[in-house]
Amino acid sequence: MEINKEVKQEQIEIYMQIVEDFYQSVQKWIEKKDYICTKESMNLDEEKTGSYTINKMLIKKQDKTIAEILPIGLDIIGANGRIDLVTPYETRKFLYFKKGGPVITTKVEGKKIDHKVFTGIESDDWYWIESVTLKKAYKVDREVFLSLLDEVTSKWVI
Amino acid sequence: MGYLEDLREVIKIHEFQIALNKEFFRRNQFDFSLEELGGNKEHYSREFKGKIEEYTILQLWTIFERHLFELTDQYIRRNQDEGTVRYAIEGKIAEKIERWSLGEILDLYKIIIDPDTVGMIKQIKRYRDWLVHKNPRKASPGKISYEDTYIYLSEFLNSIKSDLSRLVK
Repeated sequence: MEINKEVKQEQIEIYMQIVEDFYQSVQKWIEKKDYICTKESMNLDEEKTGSYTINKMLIKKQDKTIAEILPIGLDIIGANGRIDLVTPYETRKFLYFKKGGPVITTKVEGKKIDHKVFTGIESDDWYWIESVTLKKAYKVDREVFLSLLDEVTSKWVI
Repeated sequence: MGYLEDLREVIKIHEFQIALNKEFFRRNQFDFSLEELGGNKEHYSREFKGKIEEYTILQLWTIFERHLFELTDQYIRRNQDEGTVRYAIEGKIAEKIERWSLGEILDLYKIIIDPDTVGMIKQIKRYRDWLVHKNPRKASPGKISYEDTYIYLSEFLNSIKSDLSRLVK
């Protein structure tokens, strides 16, 4: 369905805002670590909104980029946006969900039954799904982020 | 094997490929220079990681499609009374199913699964088609990770399977 220019712009602004809010949190979470954060602009091109410029975040240690936080897009099936924590060898995906998260409704003998796809989505926020079988969503807070950052960087950073 | 085992197998292969990719590049034992090819090992590792993910989504979709046809077929072939007109008619319908468009088959399930979820499965198909053809001049439709592809496709098949089990009772 074609959406008008103002709606597209509004969707882009909302996505950019939640991404920037996340970057601010990351900066707070890592301030006691020996890391420096910088931002670089990049381009995203999505069928739903067209092309737009957004920042990615580089996490550096002694001038070497050890990880990036990369915006993937706002048009994400089942979620309201995605950013990835990326190193050359590892990726952890963070999805933005509205409270409750995605729901599948089935009809059994005429009766509707709602089934939450993920557990643990209690507010609008960024979440990380640990396993495809358990489907537990973890809110990306300081503890979760730093654990994942350690996990994706410690295996290859010398 | 059942659909869940088949889909999980793809996830296992994906995890193995990612681990292999990491070791391959970390060891850096090439008899050629990656720099000469225009990139470093981090660059190529990222490229391959992305390709592995895309390939996993394609594999998951192929398995989903096959099991969707099989499960749909089971709705028709519940009657085992060979030699009846009903059995013959059901056989004829079953022959034609594979020629129906996937959209037509998915729409049938709106009776038991909400239209938004059916729409989500169609979106995954669009993203899968985009990955296959990847026209650089065409912007990406709604994206999905391989993990979520697994989750939504298996949930969809689970819903059909439990409806079928209820009918058999």
